[in-house]
Amino acid sequence: MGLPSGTFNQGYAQDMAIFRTRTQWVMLFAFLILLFACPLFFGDRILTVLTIIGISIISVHGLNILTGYCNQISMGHAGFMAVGAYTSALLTAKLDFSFWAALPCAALAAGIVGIIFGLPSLRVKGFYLIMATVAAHFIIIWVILQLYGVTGGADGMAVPRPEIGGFVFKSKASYFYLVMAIACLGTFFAKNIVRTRAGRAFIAIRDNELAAEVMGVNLWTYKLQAFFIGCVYAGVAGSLLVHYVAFATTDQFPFMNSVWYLGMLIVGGMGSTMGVIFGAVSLKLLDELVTVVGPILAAAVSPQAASSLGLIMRGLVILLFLIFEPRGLAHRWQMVKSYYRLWPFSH
Amino acid sequence: MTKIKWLFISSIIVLLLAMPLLAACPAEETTTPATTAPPPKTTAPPPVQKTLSIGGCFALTGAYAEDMAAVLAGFEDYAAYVNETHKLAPWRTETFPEDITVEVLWRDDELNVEKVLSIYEELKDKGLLVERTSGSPQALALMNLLDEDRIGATSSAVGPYLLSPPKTIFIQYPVYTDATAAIADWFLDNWEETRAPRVAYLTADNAMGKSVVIPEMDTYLESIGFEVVGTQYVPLVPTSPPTTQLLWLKENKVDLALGVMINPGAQPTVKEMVRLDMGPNLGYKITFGTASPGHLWILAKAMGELGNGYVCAGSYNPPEDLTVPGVKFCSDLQDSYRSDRVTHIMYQHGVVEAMIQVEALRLAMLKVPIDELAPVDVLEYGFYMIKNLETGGITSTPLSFGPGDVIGMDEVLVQQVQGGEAVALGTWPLHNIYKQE
Amino acid sequence: MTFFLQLMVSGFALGMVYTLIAIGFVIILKCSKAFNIAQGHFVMIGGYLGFTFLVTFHLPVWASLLAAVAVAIIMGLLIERLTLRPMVGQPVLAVIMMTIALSVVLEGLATLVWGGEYKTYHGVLPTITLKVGELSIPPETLIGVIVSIIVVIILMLFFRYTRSGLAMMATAEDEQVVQSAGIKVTTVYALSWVIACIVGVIGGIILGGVSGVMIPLANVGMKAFAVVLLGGVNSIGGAIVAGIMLGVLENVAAGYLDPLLPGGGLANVFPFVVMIIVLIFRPHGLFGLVEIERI
Repeated sequence: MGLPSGTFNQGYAQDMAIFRTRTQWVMLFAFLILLFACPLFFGDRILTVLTIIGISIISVHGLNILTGYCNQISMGHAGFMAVGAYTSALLTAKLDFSFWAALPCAALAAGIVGIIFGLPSLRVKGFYLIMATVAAHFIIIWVILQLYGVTGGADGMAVPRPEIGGFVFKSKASYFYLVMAIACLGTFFAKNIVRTRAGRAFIAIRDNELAAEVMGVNLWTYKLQAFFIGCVYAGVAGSLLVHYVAFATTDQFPFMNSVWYLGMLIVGGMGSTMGVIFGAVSLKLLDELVTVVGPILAAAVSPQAASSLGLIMRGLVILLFLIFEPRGLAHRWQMVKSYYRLWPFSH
Repeated sequence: MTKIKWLFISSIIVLLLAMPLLAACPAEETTTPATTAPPPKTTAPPPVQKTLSIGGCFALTGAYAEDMAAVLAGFEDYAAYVNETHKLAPWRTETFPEDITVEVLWRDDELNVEKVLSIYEELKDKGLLVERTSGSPQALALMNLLDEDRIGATSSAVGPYLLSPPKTIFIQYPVYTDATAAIADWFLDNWEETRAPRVAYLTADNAMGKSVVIPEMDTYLESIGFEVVGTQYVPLVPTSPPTTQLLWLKENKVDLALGVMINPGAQPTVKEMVRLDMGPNLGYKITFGTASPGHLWILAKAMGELGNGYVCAGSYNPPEDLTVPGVKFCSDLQDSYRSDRVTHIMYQHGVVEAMIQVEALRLAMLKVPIDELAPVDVLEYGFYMIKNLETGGITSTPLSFGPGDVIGMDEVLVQQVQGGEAVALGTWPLHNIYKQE
Repeated sequence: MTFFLQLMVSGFALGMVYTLIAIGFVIILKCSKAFNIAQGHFVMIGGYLGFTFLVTFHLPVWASLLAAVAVAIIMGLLIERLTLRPMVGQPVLAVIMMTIALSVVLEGLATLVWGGEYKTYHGVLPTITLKVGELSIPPETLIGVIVSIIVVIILMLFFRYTRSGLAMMATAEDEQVVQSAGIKVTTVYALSWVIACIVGVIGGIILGGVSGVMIPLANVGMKAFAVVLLGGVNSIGGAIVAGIMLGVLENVAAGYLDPLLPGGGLANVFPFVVMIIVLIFRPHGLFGLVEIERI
């Protein structure tokens, strides 16, 4: 990617650096400070929206590694989130684990279930894999509902809120900090995982599976690794979600959520850490827009128009992006950046 | 192509810029009242008009869309009625303060838990002192939050989860377990054979339907002399007739099938029963009863004589039955405030829910002046103080609430389709089967 | 024994409806290599169209069918031209996401036009009652079986004997060769979507007559996917065999295993369990072609 003019890489470390210039560092810190100062300016409402965006970002990071980098399309991401959610809910509510011990367990459990349902990926790809993951979602939810004695079945179960040394993450602001801290860490890891040996192997598999195999990339291990990492992210997100609501039900993980996570990837741009953030933020804001506009539209036109608005809008956004901007907002962002750097000479 | 592309990109940029603005400053659009009611007379100078909001989350998108649209219409018309007449109902003498306008504040949550959370905060920010939930997913998600924030709510979902332990969601018809138990009571009162009747659950395959299949229910049914055979599930919205499930009932010689279903599930099931010659008046004697969301009147209207024998507990009265004062009131409301009539039976539900919310606000205002009113006051001086709220016969009995008492009634109306019409069989007491922890 | 036979019979009838829906899916996949997630939504729209023509407009059954088919043709052409044409040559995920976006838009449109209400038209479609001893066959599903068989036969004849049918089969074989032979591939694509829409709409009218129409009716598409995977994605014959197999298996499993499980509802996940097993052990399905990949 282009650097500001006059900046040259003079070593491996510089070449690999994500933040290369002082301006980039300043912008990073300014962004982080602004982000963490949010609770000072905003009320509970905006913080709730931001927290949910944060949880989505964590989840979509996983999906991005799995789908965007390794091309193993998963449409069962909400199901894997449910695994993490219920693991941590059961550990904290029934076995009195602290949240901090339950969170890694949730991540691990989701990862392992991810590996199990990732097994078909060794033989199939594309549409077939999508169907395998769709099946995974429905089977997971069914199993949770079956275990009535443990999970409370369809009635759900109450979940304690995270706690650290007597301080309970109960207020919106405190939970916002928790989620954002994990989201930032998640972004940091996501950005770096794809720069490791495994990450490069994922990209090789995405670009051409057979060629990757010929080059010596072990498809067996790397595909399952991608599933593991992707589902670990999902598990963390799921766990954060149920502890936020302080209640776990299977309704929190509807099948369509998996689809919208993929939609976020499309809108944001596949295979780009920045794209995940763009995608999650824009689709969630679209949701908010629909919610706010709904009643106005209902008064002006008809309640039917208002209730179909959400579906049609979201469908159209994905549809239009696929046709006109298949590489997503991240690509557009890159173009804007390079345009800014090169201006007034456009080449 | 490039032109379209640029058009598209620029529209996205405009949209992206507009979104945070619209989402972040929702305060401005409160000036657009969400009701279809005539504009409140804010111009009258001497009494300063104050507004109080009722409403909450309505799932206008999703499986309960049709029901919720009717409930919303009920809310809007009742608010319009209160604003115009300052009365609470034709049969009540209390009045609502004249200087206060009631407005309906609502958001479509699409049955999505994540959306419910942000809507909940938004409405709280906007000064909604009460709340409502439309389906089990939202009720489950908001239950604990409502309790922590001490906000009273009404609901159109009535699962047993609301009772463990009772929180702050108040309901105007019994939980599904009690409603189905009332059907069992009715059945037993009319049982003439000497052997023990055999009962099985035939219920919807979702949270609502499964909420009756609990050990406590088995225990109760066995204690009154039933033999519990087993359970069969029908998809919430079946795509094929539930032949397998019904044959299983036949095979196991079941006399009474109990469950919770919505109409899209109940109608094909009843139809298939008739075809298989199963029914109280047919070759194989079996009675099929469901708790309230089965809405007997809708079924009777859609199926006519085909639906004969189907029993439902907790359903509302037929909208044509104008001898019931509450039904007459609903009909009059529609005449006065609505150009195209809502024919759905849940309209009555909406009116009653609005009535409960307005009553809670009114009672709370007797204790606390409107400017200092907080949600907790509405809960403690409002909802908890509602005693014998007369609904004009829309609900089975007048409604009473209190701390720990979230079910408004002690009896439930059981109805049956006879000769293609909904006929009331009488009321049966509730047993509070679901153990309150 | 009667119980078992009855399960088999209703399973068979159910399977034929699955087949009908799955065929629409297979045709699109064969011709344009697009996986159409929205097939279930065509069914849902079909059910609503059936309601509109049969109940709202009081048209006779044959006229309603013709009118619904006409709407389906227009719908198919529009969908292909507006959404799928720009996707030619795009990666698998993009095409699938497109059909998902399409399904969401269709759902929204159904809410807009019909209010997402539960509509029924019991007893409007003709019924045939057939009783063999103790067994009784559901009349509407019997109609479904008959219509499905007719549609399948028509399609088979179409593919074997008509010019456009042959063109479609050829396109399925090799797009580039077909183009050099002077066949317009885009027309073939459009045709495949039109056929899929017609098949879906007919399936919707049948299902609507059985259980009424509501937005969640679209979920029936999910079961059709299991049928498609089991039969092999590019085999119409496979879809027929697999449809019947799955219908019967699902019914038998629900009939015998459901009472044993505390949570029940096995019929709903059963297709997915089949899906996973097929994908692990026989990814190309029972009758599908094994794809050979080259770098």
